[in-house]
Amino acid sequence: MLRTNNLVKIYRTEEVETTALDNVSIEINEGEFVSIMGPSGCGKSTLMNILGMLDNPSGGEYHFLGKEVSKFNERQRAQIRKENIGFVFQSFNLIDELTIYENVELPLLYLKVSPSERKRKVQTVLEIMEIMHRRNHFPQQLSGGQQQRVAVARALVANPKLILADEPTGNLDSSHGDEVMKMLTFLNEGGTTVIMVTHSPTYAEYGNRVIHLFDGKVVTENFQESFRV
Amino acid sequence: MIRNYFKIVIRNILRQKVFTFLNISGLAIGIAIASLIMLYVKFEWEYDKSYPNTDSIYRVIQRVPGKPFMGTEYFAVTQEPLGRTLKSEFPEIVNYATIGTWKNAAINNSKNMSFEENVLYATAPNFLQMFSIELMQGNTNTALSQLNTVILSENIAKKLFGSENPIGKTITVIETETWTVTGIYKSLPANSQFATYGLITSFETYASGLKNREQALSWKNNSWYNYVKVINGTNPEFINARMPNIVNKYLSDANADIKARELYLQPLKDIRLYNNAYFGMGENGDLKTMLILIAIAIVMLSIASINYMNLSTARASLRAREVGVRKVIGANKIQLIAQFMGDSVFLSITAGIFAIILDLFLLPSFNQLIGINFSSAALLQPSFLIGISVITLLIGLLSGAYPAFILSSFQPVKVIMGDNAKGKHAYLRYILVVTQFAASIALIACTFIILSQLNYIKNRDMGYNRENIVVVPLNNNVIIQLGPMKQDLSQNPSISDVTACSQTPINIVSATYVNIPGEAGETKVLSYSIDSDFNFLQTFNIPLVEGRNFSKNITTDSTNAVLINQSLANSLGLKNAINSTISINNNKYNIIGLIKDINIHSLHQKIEPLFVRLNKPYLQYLCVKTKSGNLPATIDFIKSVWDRYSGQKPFKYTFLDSDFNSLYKREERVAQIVSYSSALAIIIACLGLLGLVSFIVEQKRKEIGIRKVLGASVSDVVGTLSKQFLQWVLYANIIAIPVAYYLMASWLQDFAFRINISWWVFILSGGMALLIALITVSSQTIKAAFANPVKSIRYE
Ligand SMILES: Nc1ncnc2c1ncn2[C@@H]1O[C@H](COP(=O)(O)OP(=O)(O)OP(=O)(O)O)[C@@H](O)[C@H]1O
Ligand SMILES: [Mg+2]
Repeated sequence: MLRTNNLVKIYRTEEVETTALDNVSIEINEGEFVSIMGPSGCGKSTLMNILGMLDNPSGGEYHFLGKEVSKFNERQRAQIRKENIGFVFQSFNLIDELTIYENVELPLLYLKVSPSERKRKVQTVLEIMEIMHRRNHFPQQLSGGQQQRVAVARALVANPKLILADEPTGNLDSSHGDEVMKMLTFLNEGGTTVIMVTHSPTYAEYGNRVIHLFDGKVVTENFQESFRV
Repeated sequence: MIRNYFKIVIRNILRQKVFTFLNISGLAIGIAIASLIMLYVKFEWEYDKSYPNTDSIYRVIQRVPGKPFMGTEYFAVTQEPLGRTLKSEFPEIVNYATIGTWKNAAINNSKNMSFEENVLYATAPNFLQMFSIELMQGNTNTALSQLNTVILSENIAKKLFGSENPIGKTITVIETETWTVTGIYKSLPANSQFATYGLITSFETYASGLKNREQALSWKNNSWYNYVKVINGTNPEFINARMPNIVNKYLSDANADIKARELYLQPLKDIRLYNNAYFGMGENGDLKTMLILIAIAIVMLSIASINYMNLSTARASLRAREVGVRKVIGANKIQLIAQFMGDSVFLSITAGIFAIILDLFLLPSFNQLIGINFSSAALLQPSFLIGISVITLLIGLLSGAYPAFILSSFQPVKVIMGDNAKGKHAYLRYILVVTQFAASIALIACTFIILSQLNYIKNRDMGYNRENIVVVPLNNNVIIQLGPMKQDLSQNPSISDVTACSQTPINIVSATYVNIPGEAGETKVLSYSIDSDFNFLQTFNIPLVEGRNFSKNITTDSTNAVLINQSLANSLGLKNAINSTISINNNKYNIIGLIKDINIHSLHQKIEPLFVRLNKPYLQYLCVKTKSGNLPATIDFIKSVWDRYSGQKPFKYTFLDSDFNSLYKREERVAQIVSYSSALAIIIACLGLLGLVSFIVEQKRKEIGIRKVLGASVSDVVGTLSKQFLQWVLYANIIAIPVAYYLMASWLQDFAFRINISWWVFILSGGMALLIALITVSSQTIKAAFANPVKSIRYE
């Protein structure tokens, strides 16, 4: 599904130059559930942003669905992004001024899906996520766990091939965290590729593979399945 | 604690430099413009109000019923005996002054240098007492008691005599009279109707030189001004009611027309702005213009204050978290309110100071615009500074009040937990922005309409030619030798026609009654008149409809031939005008030609009856039509001819088309002020919009980021953001159009000839505002839309 070759990301500010990613080469296949772990500041979010085409790398290659996308411009990236990728963030990033329903509907609007089709899809995911009854509420009126479920609903409503989740459980207590993990697993079982950043070893276990980052470098790739065998 | 607040104020200013700059500069521009306008309005408002007795001084005016002239039935000139008669007849009248004026009198000082000054002659010392004219040298009661004495204003004394003491020195008036200077008076403030007169002599000094003294000073001659002072608190209506008796008593042998005249007392302080009496001493002000100006000042100030409030409240809402924290730490409500008020007032006072500095820079151009010479001292006078301070304080407090009370009443928990306090209370802000744009759009629309009316005036065919005509004021020497002089002038191939006339056709002010002799029922028609020389019609290209022009070969043309226009023929009911006889002031004239109706006044007035006759003694202007090209050489030539005949009189000239344009000086002025204001208004409104947009975009940074992550393109984002702002401008249009339409329709009422207000004006002004707003808004939204979403969602 995607493959990177010596990805480099350097942040320059006035005083310092930070190498957030240092020759990262990874490959992720369709249907995988990959967890990314590492200490704070090691470059996890940076990698997610590049994989999600929110940002361009400073160097290296990034092949997504067979295309070299690292030099794509904003417009081209946006196009691939909205057709293929859903995002879930640690701080839910819902739009406060929109209702739950409208928040979830948003990606479909940008994909120019017809109204009836939109309605059907939004209702389906809201039901799957068990938040249908709150659809006319605003984000501020929901608990953190409910908000994150809305965020997940929004990520999957357009039926993306890949879901990128950056610390989806970071702001949640364990019971709500478990719920979100169950959802992600459920999606993965349905064939969606999931890449998730987490600090929790327990949640990392939900993945079939863990990538460890340290100072912007990949440390080990742990093929759990091979262990299990 | 105060230091802590102050630190925060300064840090906030520094942290939001652009924002603060927009905020202060918008307000400063608004205050600067409004205060300049108010300076002018104050000047006009206080016209003739500086005399200690202003409230009890009246001018006597008369009404000539049913005989309007130049659009009015009221006249400021009255008879010489009237003043003293009123004083003796009415116990309420305690003083009177009869006054005459003499403009551009030729004055020579003791060194025989020539000047042209305006002389005022009055029944002294009544006049000096009534208007409390203060003598710096000389004695009020005796200065003008002798014949041929004169007192000078301080300024004129300096001009004529420099640093020497003028008392006892003499001046020569029109080369024949010698007057001795017996006093110096403090120059009157520029906003009094006597300010343009720098020499005052006694009425007797003037009257002693009159050739036809008895007639001039009789009840039959209306060419003087009479002012009376009444006992404090007298209702002038009581006097007005008894005026008919005066007319009946002293004009008992006059004809019915004269007996029908009515006398009124007009308050001195109303003369400048409310005057409707023609032939007044000074230039009239115009109440309508003043009201327009006050409206503009208010609009400018409101737009600027709205800006300030919008930006301040927007800025303050960013501080919700600070407020929360302060409350948690223990600040009480009063302290917080004081802090926000203090912040707002500090900035508004800064704006006020900038406004004064801006005014000092703008003053020269403003003076040029309104034609008054305000010194920079006028800007620093206490009343002006106090006015600005009060306004800035008010705006500061008002704009501070909103965030102060709203924010300080937030529950700190909510604010700290990030309950979004920012988006609330935004409706007020939208309403204010809509109001602001509505005002700007209305101003723009008014500008377009006023400019197109002026354009229409200047380009309308008045029925005669006014291009390339040089107008030279005549004097007696020249009139006597007019024939040879015209002969000499016509030698030059660049000169195509020469004529002389009592008035040029652009604005004819003399009129007299015309009737058909011997006709029963005597239909008298008031007709404007021109006394001219041959070639009048040719010089101005005035078309003849029927009949013939004056001819040198027909001797009777110089005595009893007349040309009349179509209106006069119609008013007299003449079907076949040619060769009919009409009577003008009891002299019979034969109509030899019918001329086309041309406009003989500004387009405020309709076309009115006119006759033209040959009448040498009344000629006042030499009009020379030149062929275009090398005008300076032609004027040099005219001057050389002039010098040959004029006997040392200076050569002066104007161009007819610029004389024509000066008829619309007032409209021109209004147009300029309105167009500058509307440009500034839209600039201020855009500064506000810019600030608000950048503020809202800042607030929506996260939302924009999320939308982009979810697949919104740059154009999606710009569209979503801009749509809302542009909606406001559209709403503003809906308010602005009827307001501007109504205002302009009533402004145009004053013109007999006017444009129709067409819809494109509104499309254009609305479109312009929309375009400017679009540019302003998109400069911010595009920037926001291109921003990397990662950055905006990263640190939530
Ligand atoms: N926009 C930026 N400008 C400068 N430096 C940045 C920027 N974004 C990230 N960095 C730096 O790059 C490094 C990697 O950051 P990144 O956010 O990817 O870390 P992370 O692994 O996601 O950390 P955490 O677990 O705390 O979320 C850090 O040192 C960070 O300071
Ligand atoms: Mg991170």
